[in-house]
Amino acid sequence: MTPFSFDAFKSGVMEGEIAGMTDRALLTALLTYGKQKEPQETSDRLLHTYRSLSNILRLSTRDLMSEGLSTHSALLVGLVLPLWGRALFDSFSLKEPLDTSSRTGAFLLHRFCGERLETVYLLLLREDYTLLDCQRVTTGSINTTTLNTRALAEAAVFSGASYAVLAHNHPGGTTIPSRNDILATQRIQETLDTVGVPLLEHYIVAEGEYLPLLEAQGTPHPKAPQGYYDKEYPCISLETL
Amino acid sequence: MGIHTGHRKRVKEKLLRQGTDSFLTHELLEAALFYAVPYQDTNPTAHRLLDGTDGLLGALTRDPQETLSVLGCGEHTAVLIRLLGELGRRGAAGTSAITLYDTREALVSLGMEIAREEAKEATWAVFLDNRFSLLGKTRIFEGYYASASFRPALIAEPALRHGASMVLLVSTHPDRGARVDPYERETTATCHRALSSVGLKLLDHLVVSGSIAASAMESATSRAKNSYRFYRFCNESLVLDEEGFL
Repeated sequence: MTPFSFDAFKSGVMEGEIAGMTDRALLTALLTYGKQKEPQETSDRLLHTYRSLSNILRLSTRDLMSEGLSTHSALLVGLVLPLWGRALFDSFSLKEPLDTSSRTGAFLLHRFCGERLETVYLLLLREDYTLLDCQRVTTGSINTTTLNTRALAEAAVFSGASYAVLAHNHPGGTTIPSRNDILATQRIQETLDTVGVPLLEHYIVAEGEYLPLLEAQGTPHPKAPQGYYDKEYPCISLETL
Repeated sequence: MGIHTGHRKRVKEKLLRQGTDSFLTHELLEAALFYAVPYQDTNPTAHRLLDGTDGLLGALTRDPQETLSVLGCGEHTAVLIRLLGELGRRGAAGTSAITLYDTREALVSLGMEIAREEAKEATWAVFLDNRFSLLGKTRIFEGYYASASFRPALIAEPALRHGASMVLLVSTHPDRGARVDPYERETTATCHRALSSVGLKLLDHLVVSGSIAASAMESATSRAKNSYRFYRFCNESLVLDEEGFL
């Protein structure tokens, strides 16, 4: 393999050639910025072990350090996806209402970009379906024992929201819900209905895809706006899981 | 000593301790710029980048020549910003090929790869997500099994930290053949039960010696405790040999 030259890399980037460069060159350059010893060998080793750039960028700082990276370079690698996730999120115009499933789905794909662990978000919407707040509820798998339904109810009430939307991701997985996902949704729906902030939908996000669970189960919320489901989604039933 | 003395050190410590969630976007960008600007305050540059017409996304994807003229920064900085953008795009899109360890061949081959790099008798835990893609691996202990005080928490704790759904154990036997000993069989069964209780699936426990592997899981569930089956690769395909191969 061709030895890496940092100067040649920088000239290439300045000439607009970065899109055609290999993952190996990009990772080696990043490690060079991080003053990593033997950046090329380290980059080759990481790519050999984890097989893809995507997998490496999702490693925690601690894991990167156990792979021989210095703290300095591990922190730089760990900044890549969070920065990209923020960039995508900030580019999303929050003034427009989240009044369709495809628009809400697009917002959630941005929100979950680079998220390594299963995370639950509660989206709080105004009467006109614009976003009032997006709160991280918990990190870890979704089930009724780890989700504090009282905290969800409090968040909904104190924000003064008219509607709520729940979303969680399946990192590295598919959008197929688990029994726990379905059972937890029913429980949260009851809780939020009780405090008068209806749960319009619960989205599962995975690998660039999303699934509105209530619609997929054939039980869309009656308060969902007209034409909310502007796409077809697969059908899911608890019995088949 | 000014109030900014040790600022970079504090930022790095906070990143290590709390991760990126507690950082504002301009603070994250400021921390990234430390790597291109060794001594100056990077806060104004971070703000200038964010204040551009297309915000952070525009800054990360803009032609570096343009960044040079807009920002008045050096080439070293402009290249880093563009590099972060390109890596982010590729990493988030998962455009690179991801290897899935969803067959016995792939798992045995992974076990043998670990054994090739491990000179001593040791046990490794490999963590996979529910799509069978590799999340990480950890050497959980070194030495002969029976001599180690083995606890399932040694595996469960890092597995949860990795956000894993499945675990593969690999014990290397560089000097004594790929034979599953009774203690390994017993520990496999214990681990299987303990990991299920925290929602983790133990895919297998491979005992590997050179290019031969045996499954401690099969051995633990096999009715005939004295029969052994070994895996090896022959012309790149996995072959199963009955007892007597060694």
